[in-house]
Amino acid sequence: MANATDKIPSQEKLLVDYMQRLEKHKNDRFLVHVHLSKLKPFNRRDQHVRTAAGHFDPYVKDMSGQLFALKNADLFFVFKKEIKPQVETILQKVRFLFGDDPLVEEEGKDGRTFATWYDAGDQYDEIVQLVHGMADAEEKRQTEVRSRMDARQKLKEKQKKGEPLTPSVLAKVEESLSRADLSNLVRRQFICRVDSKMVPEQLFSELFISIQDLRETILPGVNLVANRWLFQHLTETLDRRVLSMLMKTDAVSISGDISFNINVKTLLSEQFQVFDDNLSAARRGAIVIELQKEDIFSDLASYLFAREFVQAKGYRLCLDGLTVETLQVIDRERLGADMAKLVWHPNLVDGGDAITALIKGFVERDGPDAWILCRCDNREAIDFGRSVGIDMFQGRYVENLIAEDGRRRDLLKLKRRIERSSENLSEEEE
Amino acid sequence: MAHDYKVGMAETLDKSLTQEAVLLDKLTRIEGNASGYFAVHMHLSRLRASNRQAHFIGIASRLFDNLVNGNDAVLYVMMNQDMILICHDVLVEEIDPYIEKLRGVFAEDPLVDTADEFEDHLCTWYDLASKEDFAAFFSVASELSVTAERIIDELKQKKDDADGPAGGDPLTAKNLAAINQQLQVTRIADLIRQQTCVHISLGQSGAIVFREHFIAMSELKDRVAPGVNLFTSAWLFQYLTETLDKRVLAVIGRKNFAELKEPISLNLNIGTVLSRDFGNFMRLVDDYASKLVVEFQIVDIFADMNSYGYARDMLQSKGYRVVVDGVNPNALQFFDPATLRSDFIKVAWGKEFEEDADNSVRLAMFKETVQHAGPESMILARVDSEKALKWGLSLGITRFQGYFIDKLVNAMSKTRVVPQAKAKTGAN
Repeated sequence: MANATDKIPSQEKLLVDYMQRLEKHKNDRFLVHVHLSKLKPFNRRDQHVRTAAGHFDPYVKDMSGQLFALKNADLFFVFKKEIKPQVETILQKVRFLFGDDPLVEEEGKDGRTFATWYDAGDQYDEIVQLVHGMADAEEKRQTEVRSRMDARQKLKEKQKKGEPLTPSVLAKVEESLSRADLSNLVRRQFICRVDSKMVPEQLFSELFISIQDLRETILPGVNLVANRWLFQHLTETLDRRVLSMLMKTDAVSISGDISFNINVKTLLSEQFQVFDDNLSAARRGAIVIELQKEDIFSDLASYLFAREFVQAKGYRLCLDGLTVETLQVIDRERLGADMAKLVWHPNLVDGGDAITALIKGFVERDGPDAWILCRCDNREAIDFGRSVGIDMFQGRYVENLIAEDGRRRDLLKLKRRIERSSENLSEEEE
Repeated sequence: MAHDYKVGMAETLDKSLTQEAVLLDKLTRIEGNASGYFAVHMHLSRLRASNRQAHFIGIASRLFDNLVNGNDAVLYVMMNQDMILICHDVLVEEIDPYIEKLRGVFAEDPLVDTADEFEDHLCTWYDLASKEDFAAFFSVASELSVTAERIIDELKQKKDDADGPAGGDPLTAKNLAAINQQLQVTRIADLIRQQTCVHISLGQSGAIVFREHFIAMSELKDRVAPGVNLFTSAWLFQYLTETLDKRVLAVIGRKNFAELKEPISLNLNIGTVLSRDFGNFMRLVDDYASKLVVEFQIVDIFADMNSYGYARDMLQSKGYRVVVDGVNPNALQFFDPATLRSDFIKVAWGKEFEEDADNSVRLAMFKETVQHAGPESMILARVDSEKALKWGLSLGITRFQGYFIDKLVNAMSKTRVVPQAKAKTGAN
């Protein structure tokens, strides 16, 4: 079972699983297979299938049956024998939903069947074979879809994000970068502690170049991130530009602790040495250097050396871009980074107790100052983070919280001012 | 000066201008009145090869900037990467923090292991005011100077030699387009080389696990990019391999898989495996997936674990086997290879292992890693000597690949090397 745990299992797989576990109880179960896949396409839309499936809800809720809605729209309902009459009634209702479809209208003709009934006690092997067949077909379909998606996805991306970056375009981009003023492309996002009332407290801010805006500025119509490796190379050029900008930065008036992403190669370059020479020891302590995991493992010896070097100087290191998959493989503590950033994705929640426990364990071991949940787009992200003990957050939602908090403070100030002035007024009146 | 760490090997090919020559000159000048002088010899040449990189040494030398600027002290960086500090009337206590910093940046290297309290492997101190020490140090400096001359000769020789794959102009975005174009049209079929991975178990003849098919990079370079060093940018090189993958698949796809006696392994990008080219390739392979092994680079895996998981599951479910390649032996301490759930993990034998061969602590650590990841899933690659083979066997590893193994395979009578029929399937 190399693959079951790290993907959300399909309904087909769940059905196979369920049938296997059902073996002990097969004698008091029936199964009905509703052939919605044989409906005309316009009758097979998602909402139709959802409505049909909804009819089974009461019996799923009271645990007398289990419903599986397959990718091809077919429904499988496994239920206790004693509710057979009720299930027959439901099926009549569902049949009625599709009354004008040839599948129902001409049922019985040319072997057309709307539903097939099985007695799990007698026909267990037949059922198992059937559901295995369904699961295999789905897997095959997925592979085909994936390779079709390949072309479709690429086309879609090209239309939406522009031509993919090619080596010759990359050369042009690098050249224009050496002249462009990037200071207006620098964006800033805060890493905040968020309390239970969703009030953010700003801890430090990440500075980054907006790739979107960079593209608009220097080469509209080119998708800079289309090729991972060319983009990674481009970031090395960006690193140097960011460093030189930061050295002038007191101009950009950056206050407080800051963090930025950089390549290990850049940390070991002359540019970084110059940057470092221009910083006071105190300022180094206020800087967090963020490194990408693939960059670290592309030259581990360089990372280890750079780590010792920058930490000795007083910088803090943050391991960036951890996901539900990498979390299980790469350990922040063993890599000796001071902090780690976990990228929010709903699959963190879908991962269930195992993932939750894993993250909780890390946060407990490393303390609340070591873990940041980033790219938080919604409240769910914060709630999840808090549930596993994380209390530092970053992302669009956090930016909204900051803005909201700002507005609230402004209001509060205004209110106080009004109160004070009315007090003054009343004093005057007295 | 020590400040400009770019002054290193390549530029200083004049033997009379080396730091070694300057150091000897200094010694000669202070010989008459050496009171208050002392020398610290930092043996960075004994660091692991991976830590002895010129830019590391450059950065390390800068750790002494404040000391050198504020005192009568000079730091010399030798051609062999050793550093010499000459001080006059400076308190030893003032030097210590700098040495500690140096120790810190190389903390991962066994050279600075402080376990041995009685012997400092990193530094040797000389009180130059003592005649005895002065003489000892002078002979050290002379030796370093001889070494420098030898290194310079070697460098000059290298420069004169035809460029290896690691010689020439750097690979940049500018020349990449042309090279990539060239790569798409150049004949590569005759550049495909093979190396055998063998399963060796006690008292039995070796069994072939697979034959890795790979492109001879230096010959390819001569064809597509003479005069360019393809390895200066890891990322741009990786980009080129995407193009190379397509070409390799086209060549290997012409094989008759039904008649193939031994499994083939190919190095591919994850993106390639998820592309249409590979879909077509799989149709050609048809029912013989068990004869194909796909190797992924660890960098590629970490860049997108999600795609890796998908590609691995897809391959394994169809009967292909998956190898995680490009694992630096030291990297095993920093991630858990077992969690990648590949069929094999390929670790490259290197100098690091050799240096650790006598270090029982490190050896025990590797043994534990191997046990944890499962000795049956480990492949020790780049086995170039009997020593490497024995070392691997002592850790419980039984699958090997490398020059030395090729020699063994050739030496063993062909009848004795049988393809390993029962391949481990990926499902568990």
